Amino acid sequence: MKVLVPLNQKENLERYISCGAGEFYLGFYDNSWRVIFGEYGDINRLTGFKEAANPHCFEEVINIIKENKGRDQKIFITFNSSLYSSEQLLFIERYMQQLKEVDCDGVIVSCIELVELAKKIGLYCVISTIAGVYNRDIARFYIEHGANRIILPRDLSVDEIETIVQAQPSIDYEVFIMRNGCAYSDSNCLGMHRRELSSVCSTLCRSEHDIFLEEDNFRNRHDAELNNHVFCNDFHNITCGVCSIYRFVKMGIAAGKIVGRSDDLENICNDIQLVKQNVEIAKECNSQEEYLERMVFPRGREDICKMGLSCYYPEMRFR
Amino acid sequence: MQKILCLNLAEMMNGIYEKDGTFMISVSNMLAESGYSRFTRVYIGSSFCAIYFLHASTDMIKSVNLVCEKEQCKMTLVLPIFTEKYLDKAKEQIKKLVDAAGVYLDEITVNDFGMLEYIHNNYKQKINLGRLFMKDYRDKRYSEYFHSCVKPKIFNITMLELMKQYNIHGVELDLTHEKIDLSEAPSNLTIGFHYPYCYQTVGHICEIGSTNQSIDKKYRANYNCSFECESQIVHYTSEEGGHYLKHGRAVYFENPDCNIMNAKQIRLIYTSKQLGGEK
Repeated sequence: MKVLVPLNQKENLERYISCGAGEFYLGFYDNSWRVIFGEYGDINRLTGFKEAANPHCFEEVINIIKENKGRDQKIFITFNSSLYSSEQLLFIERYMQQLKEVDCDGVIVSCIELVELAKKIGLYCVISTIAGVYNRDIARFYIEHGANRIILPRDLSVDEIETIVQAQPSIDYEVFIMRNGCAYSDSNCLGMHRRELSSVCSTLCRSEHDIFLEEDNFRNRHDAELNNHVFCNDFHNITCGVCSIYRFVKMGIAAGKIVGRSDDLENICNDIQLVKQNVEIAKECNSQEEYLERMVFPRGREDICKMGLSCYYPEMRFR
Repeated sequence: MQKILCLNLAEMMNGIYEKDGTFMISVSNMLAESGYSRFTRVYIGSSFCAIYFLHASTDMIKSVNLVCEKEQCKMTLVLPIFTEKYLDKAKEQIKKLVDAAGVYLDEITVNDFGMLEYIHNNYKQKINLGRLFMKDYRDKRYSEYFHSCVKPKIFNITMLELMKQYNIHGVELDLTHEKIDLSEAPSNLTIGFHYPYCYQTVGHICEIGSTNQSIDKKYRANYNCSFECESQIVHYTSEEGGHYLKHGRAVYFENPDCNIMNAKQIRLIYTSKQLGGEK
């Protein structure tokens, strides 16, 4: 299992490789797209974070791809806004043609429209978590339309991931391993992700809450308010899935993803090293139990490894 | 523009049936609440929650049949996205519910491509694409964006081809913006709008369903619950986005004044204000 890393600055590439990065993904901005489709027309899910998440323009991305040739690490380009208009699809077709010309390793796409485009152009096609491949039937649909790899949603259990992988073994799979959680679904959370107000879930958690209860008594109110408080303050503040790495290695998952295109360099480097180290440990282990004994925990385990609240896959430790 | 009223029992049907044992009263109340004089269709099932969908009983469906018989109306079965662990159970449940609904059920609404393929290959009912297929961003926090006019991207060239291929009968949409322009929607499609609530976000992790779980079992995707959604609603008020409500797994905002343009006829898929806790 390779460690897939967000390439938020091309200057960081060598450093990430030295830490153990096996693959990269990045997005780009394009002022000509912005002029035509406006301030809210996203090329990818983090377009609204502007250069903080997409520091490079398309031409720079083309150069990064060219300069990377000869290295073992693949680079994937993201087109994962939720959905695109017919006019936007035409624009993206032109991007994809240029990516094909420089022999780009692949594109990450969010919808069936872009799968069709990638297939037509001949690009390796990765299905984003935004597409919501939650079961083997959805996986089969995308495979039949040309998917080469699927990023499975972070709100699936490890058992569900294993069933999907076994049912549709003809392609590669990728899973979430480190950094940012999501309390809703990547595929159907439809608020903007922008630098001004960030995500809708963060707005909700900062809002005034009023809980309506059909049977309003002290006990019910206490339980509901405590539940809401923990959800808004302690759930998925930072998220980690390293306890599941043994299972993912054994089921042949192609890549473990570190998210955070706008995150700090040092934190990402720490996460790359942690995941890489645990992948190597997992390869040496003969059982899940042995791995759980030997694995290396993330920094800050005394805060984050509590009650499954920071786990992508809490069932690994809390059955 | 002609608006045809349909009543949405999805997300609320289990609670209504367990409380009343019949849908006659709630349907009558919903009709009065809507301000319309008649309705032509009821929606059952769930757009958002597999566990809620799997909990529906055939007896409950037979009770909906009585409404259809009395009101001379039809029924649409709405299917949520099922994660892998519930996929097989879901297929069994769909068969049970379709059989129980009999001649009254003439449409099935799907919300993912896997289920679209499955229903297309195994059932004769007409197929609608559900509200989870309409993935245009909606966000009241950004005033300029919210007050703009959106052309739903689901009517892009590739999706229109796919709709033809699967013989899609209708598309369900949400009231996402101040104005929605349907000029790109083919005239042969039945367009339904969920009213008055627009869903903002949803997931497979249920905060409300975790209320009675121990902390180490809280907020697990598709985990067992005690249907707390039937007795608990969370209201949020923010400076940026105004009022939201969480019912079950989904967060909604109200947008009843949305102006729908360039359509001759739409379905209004009416959800009772009881969803937000109003009596």
